[in-house]
Amino acid sequence: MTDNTGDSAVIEMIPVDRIRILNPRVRDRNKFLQIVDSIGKVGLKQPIKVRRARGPDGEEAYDLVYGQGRLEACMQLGQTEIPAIVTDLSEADSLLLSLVENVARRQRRPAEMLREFGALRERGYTVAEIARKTGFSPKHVRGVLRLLDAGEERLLAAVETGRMPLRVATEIAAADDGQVQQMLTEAFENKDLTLRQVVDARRLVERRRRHGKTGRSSNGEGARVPVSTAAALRLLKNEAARYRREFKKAELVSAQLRFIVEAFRVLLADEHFVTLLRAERVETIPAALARLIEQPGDA
Amino acid sequence: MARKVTMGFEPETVTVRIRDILPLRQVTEAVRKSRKYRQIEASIRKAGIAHPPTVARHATMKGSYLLLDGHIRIAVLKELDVAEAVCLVSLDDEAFTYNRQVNRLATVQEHRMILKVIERGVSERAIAETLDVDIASIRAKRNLLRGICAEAVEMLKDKHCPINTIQALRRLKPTRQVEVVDLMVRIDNFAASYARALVAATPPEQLVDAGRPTVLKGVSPDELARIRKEVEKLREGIDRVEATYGPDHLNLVIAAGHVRSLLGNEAIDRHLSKHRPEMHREFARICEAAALVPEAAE
Repeated sequence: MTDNTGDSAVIEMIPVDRIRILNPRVRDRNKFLQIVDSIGKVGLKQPIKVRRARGPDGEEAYDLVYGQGRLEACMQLGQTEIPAIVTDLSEADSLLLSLVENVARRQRRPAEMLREFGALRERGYTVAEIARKTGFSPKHVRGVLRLLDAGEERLLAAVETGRMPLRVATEIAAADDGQVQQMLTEAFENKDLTLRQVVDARRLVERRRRHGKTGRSSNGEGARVPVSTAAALRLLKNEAARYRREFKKAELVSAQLRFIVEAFRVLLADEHFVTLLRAERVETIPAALARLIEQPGDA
Repeated sequence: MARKVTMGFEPETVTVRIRDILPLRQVTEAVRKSRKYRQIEASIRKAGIAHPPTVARHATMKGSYLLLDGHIRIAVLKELDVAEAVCLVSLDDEAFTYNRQVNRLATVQEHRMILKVIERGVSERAIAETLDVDIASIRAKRNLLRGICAEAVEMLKDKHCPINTIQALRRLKPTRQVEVVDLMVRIDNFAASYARALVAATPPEQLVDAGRPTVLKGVSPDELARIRKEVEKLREGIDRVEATYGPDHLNLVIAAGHVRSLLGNEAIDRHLSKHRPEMHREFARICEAAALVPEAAE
């Protein structure tokens, strides 16, 4: 195929509508938007690689070897041309190369990538310069550096994989256990976090409390991996028992919530009580509670 | 027309002497011993460098380059006594964005890619050698989805899931495959042992080979039967907890917080305890409990 050093090559601008994707890949929508955003802000950092082919019309065409994400991002940004390293490999060789490119490479862990911010700072760049180079806001860069300095690897990994907004992560890093609960609740109220993210965040906070700030992230790879089938089976059984306990708690929580909502319906219909609330200047009810009270029927 | 995207690299690659390249970090012994390292080494030996390393011209040392991306590739070339490498020259010296734009291939996608390469006439052996894996592993990847129903494949298509996990699913009838994958997705655990446990916890009538009894070392048939019953209820349990616990729990924290602040007001506390003693008692109890409500996840 090629010698070990590869061929010195001119990078050509080629029309995006002449590129065929031989191996279409599904991709994570969030990651795709990140790439679009990054390319839009700091430019394209790598050309794609294509092989010269012939289109059905006999005109020059190209098969994509690698760079589907960048290609689609550039198209999303309205580009009609894209810089590409063009090779004359056979179709089979280029497919193999594409496989190599995808499989034979080291996947860096999420927290490792954010450490690059720290590496840039060590090379003497200011927050503003790092922000400009990477396309993030200075506030974001500062937040990441703060987490890095505090050794918060779990939180960094959660930020990098998009499981948690940076702002929430820096607040968790600064809060004690009791405050975290309140903070997550507020974040959910302000729609900074979705319900799933709150549940995720709680789990992460719990792991961080038990096992420390460093360690594998919660992106699945760090999940408990039992060795034997029998051990996994017991884990499953525990999981089932755990959910049963959780459900009991859930029922209790629902009952208490229903009680408070019902009680407020009664109290707010009581003129004396409402007058008292006004007199004491505490008539404002949190929005979430007010919504439940206004809802017809059960809470 | 859309604004033109800027290019972050020089329009031509350059051939650089390896000794003029300054790495940003060391390739550690642990990395050198890793499976990925050997795989990258094999692929470079067989097929050359798929993707040129990225360097930046050194700001002060003329003729020197900072290595931004491709530390393993350069380490391999050094080991192979190669003197120079074709590099992409970045106009900036940050290594962050190079790494972000790497997407890991999901198991099902890798399988599809291997099928396509084979379809174009590349032998299994050539693929195995290029990737430094044995030929049996390429065959296993090629046959990955044999016996797996389309719906389960669809649910797994973007998951990084061990091959053994997918193979374990073959013993299940299609509807059960979908149930098991659904459970793994929700618990976010794709370990093969976990999949095998779920297979073991499957009633015989939902197995492809119902006649073959499930025998597990260290688990008695009675215990297995009990676990089966528990696991049956697991999915239902997750559904119920997810549907009610999350929103109610958050709302209760807010509501109880408000009640607590009202009871902290002397006049209101007095009014309630006088006119609505039962409600007052219950409020106090809830506030006390809410302060102790355990986290949703253990």
